[in-house]
Amino acid sequence: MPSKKILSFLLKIEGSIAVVAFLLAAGAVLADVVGREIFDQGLWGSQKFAVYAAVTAGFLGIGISTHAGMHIRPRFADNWFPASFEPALTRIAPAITAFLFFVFAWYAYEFVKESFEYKQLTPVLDWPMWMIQIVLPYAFVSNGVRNLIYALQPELTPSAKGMF
Amino acid sequence: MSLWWLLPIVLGMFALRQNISMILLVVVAYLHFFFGDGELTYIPEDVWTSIDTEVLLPIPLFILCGGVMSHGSIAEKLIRVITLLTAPLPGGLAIAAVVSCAIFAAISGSSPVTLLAVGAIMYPALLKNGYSRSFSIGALTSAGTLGILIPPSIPMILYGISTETPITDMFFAGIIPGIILTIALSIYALIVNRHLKGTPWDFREIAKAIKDGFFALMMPIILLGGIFSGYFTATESAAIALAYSAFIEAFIYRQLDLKGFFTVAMKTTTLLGTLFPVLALALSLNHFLVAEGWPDIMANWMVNNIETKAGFMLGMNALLLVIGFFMDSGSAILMLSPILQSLGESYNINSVHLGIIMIMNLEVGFLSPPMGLNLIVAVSAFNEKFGTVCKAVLPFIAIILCVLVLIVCFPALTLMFL
Repeated sequence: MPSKKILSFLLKIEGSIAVVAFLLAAGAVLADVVGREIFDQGLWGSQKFAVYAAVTAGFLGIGISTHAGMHIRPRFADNWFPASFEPALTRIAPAITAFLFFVFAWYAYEFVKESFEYKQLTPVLDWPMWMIQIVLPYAFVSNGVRNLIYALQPELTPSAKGMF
Repeated sequence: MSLWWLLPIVLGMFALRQNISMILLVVVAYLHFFFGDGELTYIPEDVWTSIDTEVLLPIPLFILCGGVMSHGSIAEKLIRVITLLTAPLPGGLAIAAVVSCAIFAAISGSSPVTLLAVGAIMYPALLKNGYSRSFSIGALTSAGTLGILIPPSIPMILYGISTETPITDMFFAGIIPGIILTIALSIYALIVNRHLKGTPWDFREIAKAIKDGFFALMMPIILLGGIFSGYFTATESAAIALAYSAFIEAFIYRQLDLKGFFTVAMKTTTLLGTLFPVLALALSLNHFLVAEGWPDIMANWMVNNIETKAGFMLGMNALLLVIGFFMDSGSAILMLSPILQSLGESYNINSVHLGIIMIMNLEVGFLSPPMGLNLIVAVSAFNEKFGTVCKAVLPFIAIILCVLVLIVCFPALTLMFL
């Protein structure tokens, strides 16, 4: 089933990059402390690097969280529609989420394009800003695709698990 | 377009089963479109400005650290020592459960992580030793919420970020309220379980447990000592706590291998993915509100309509308790704290004091349906009905509210170390 393959491909790729980025963020902060304590000098740019690594992990984590059904959703209004609407709702809810993600991805793309055109650089590290910011539109498109698949094939929608 | 249109839109989104981050996105877009410059590209710009900052770093690091400790045996060893030390007291095991939650809270920064780590070990032990099921569930579920009051606490970090209050000040301010609440819960545990007699101290066992758990016992000392001495920032403390816990779990207790670490990191990334969009959008909403001068408008309205500080306090506490029913603590803090801080300033309420009051109110939110995170975690952790868990926490909610009144009336209890 191609949809299932797309979902598991996204999870594998995004999960691996996010975990590595996360560990790099922790490692950078630690290296800075160790450098300061042992060599009397922190690691230059490590805090900023850690921020960008954590931002990358955080935005890629949105998709992993979607896959695990862990996004925070109050459920007090779940019974406002009659039970007969349930099959339709299982498609409408992810379709709306997908639409919102795609719309926001467009504005995020516009934002990153501006960064690229103005050749903006990251503070301290002096890297092209768009290289880090690209994770924004990517994460929204990826989550839009996920939710579109859930709308088309509701049986693939993960059951909500709550935070832990 | 009126602001009132937002209400049916938000309620409609709840009914259409949208998650908090999507609802926030629509709210932010609506405000930008009808009350700002109408430029929606400002949203990603505000989101980026909000997250491109070092102050957010401790959050993922503390979550990962909590994950490593729960996965390994640090929690088990800490609990063993505390259980032996409280053994002579009537209801000693129940007191050990409360104190274990307090100490684990001091190293994990999260309420559900505290409940899971301590509950997994203490719940079967409490039942086996004759403590009632209802009391055991209530005590562990409620004492688990100490995680957000006892520093280091993720909600305190979130409050510090969104109100530009020094995070270390928030940590200092949480010490006394955390201790008072731990003592209050322990006294209740002692009174309820006074018929369960204690056993005398077994000094040989205590010495053995301390020796076995030495590295685990050093964890809160290193972490809190580093923060409170001012030697490390919150971010550095989080990184050191993470490295220390990973090191002792991997090389001393041998409970964590590479595969286990990857599992924990993946779980933490998932949690981060849950928190991140809410955090980024709530902060971008704050940017918009501040830029448009809304907190000042609200502050002026409040000052003109609510004359006394007591009236404001009463209204704010009632509002936060109600909010806690419907919203998780992180989202509530990020969305409300800048406005409440600005309102509080009009009544000369210290920002740190207000932050602790806010966090204690939202602590009750962890125990109130339908969004009470600790209730939800307890239902699956203890395999009990939702109604049973809700009933079990009621006396503990009353205790938390009594301590809250104390903290509201006596600001010195939060500000004495500042």
